[in-house]
Amino acid sequence: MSVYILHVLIMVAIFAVLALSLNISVGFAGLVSLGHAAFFGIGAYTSGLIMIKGLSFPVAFGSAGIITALLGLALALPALRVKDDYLAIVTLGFGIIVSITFMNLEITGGPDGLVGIPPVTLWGNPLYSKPGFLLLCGVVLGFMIASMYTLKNSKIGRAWAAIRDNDVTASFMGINIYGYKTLAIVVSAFWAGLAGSLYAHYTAYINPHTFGLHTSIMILSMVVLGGIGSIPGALLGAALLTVLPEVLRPLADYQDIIYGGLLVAMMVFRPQGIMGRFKITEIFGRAR
Amino acid sequence: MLQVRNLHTYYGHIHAVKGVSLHVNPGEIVALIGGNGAGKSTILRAISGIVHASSGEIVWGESEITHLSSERILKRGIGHVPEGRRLFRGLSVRDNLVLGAYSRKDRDKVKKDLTAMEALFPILGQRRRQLSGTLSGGEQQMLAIARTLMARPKLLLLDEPSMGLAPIMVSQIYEKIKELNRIEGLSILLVEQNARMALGLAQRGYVVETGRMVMEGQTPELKASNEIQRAYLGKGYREVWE
Repeated sequence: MSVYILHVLIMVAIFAVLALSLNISVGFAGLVSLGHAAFFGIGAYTSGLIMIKGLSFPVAFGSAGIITALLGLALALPALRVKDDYLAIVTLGFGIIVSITFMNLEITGGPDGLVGIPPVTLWGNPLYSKPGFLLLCGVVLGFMIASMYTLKNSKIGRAWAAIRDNDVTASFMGINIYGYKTLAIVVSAFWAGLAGSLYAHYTAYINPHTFGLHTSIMILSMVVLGGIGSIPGALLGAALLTVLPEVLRPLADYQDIIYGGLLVAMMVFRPQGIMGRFKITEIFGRAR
Repeated sequence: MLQVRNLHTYYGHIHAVKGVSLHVNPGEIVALIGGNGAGKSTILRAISGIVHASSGEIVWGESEITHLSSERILKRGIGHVPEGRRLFRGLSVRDNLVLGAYSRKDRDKVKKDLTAMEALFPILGQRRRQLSGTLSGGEQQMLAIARTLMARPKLLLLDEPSMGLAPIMVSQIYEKIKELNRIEGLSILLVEQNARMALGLAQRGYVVETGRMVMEGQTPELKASNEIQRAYLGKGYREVWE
């Protein structure tokens, strides 16, 4: 396999983890987020900085997940007092605050970003080979997919489905709505942090621009395109929106037009996404 | 078994329930009748903890439950079938029933109860995999009741089970309610605008007007009262449609 194809596959795997992580909050629990790239970024910077300080990859990878989850908790506690489109605005604000923070802190390298992030090291050996890195991403993704199915069919998954469908009734069933919504954001942030860690050590260089609104919208598009709440859908959405720009590269001048046109066509002809059951409007502008 | 004393609730500045007292004895069906906006549903919501009581007390068995969370109250054995059914419309009939048992830990018994519930309401067994939003109104009401029963309540708060249903469905639902009361010994606090049906089923009744209890008694007495006949049973119009 050519290096180029391996590179595309690695990006697909990383964005698949990211799309699946957003699918937890948006798809399972019905909480719209327009700031998911912030979690991706927090994971990337955390992991990059920890390895630059000389700690090992497993420590950096684990801390990326945990620290991002904690920041997810910090967002969830105030943000979940509002819902639907108001929640979307709060998460949008969160995304902007985080990206401005990356831009201005000294430790994150400001607008220049973080340079010279060490590669992944496993058992003391640096992992430079692309097939090896793809395998690592594949393992993380495989583990994630398995845990997503387990989660979806668990008691927690049922509580989330109930909240997504009708949160007032969920409270009649004795479900702690606030607690489960918070949990959805925290788990979602955790996995986004892990994706960020993989990304940082793969590219060896990160800057604030990568983790802005543009990326948040792209991740949300992956979930919506694939089908909100669907696990294969999120995978497919991530694959399509990562591969498509590559395929359209020869038509670079028209790429954004084709890309935008496809998304509009999707919304008109199949608003529930390729494999999903819910339309985005059902989660966004629910009848109140 | 349930004692409500001098209950007051507010929605913002609106004083919805103004000092209501009522009680339900074990195995009893009690009806709460009254017009639109009288505060009947609010009384039920305050009992199940969905709405906060600003003063007064609600005693369940031996202990006070006035300020407990709705989860706790459900666990203690008070189940609430909300007005307008409020199903999880995007989920299957089976998932709705499973969610009804959310507060329970005894998984094996939940499985048995699922089977029992489908025996009690055979239509729910036939429609197991169907999305609940696609059921007919009467089937949805049966599902809403069955879902709450999955929590194994000792007292069922039933809010307007006849709302928006064809008369034949209403009688079927009322038959089921009667059966649950007679066979399982379930106590029921029933809120209804359809006073004729409610008083036909209940042993005792309360009449609520603008947040206050205006009358209470055994159903035969209530049915005989001139006041009730005029206001709720449409005396004088009866001959026209019957």
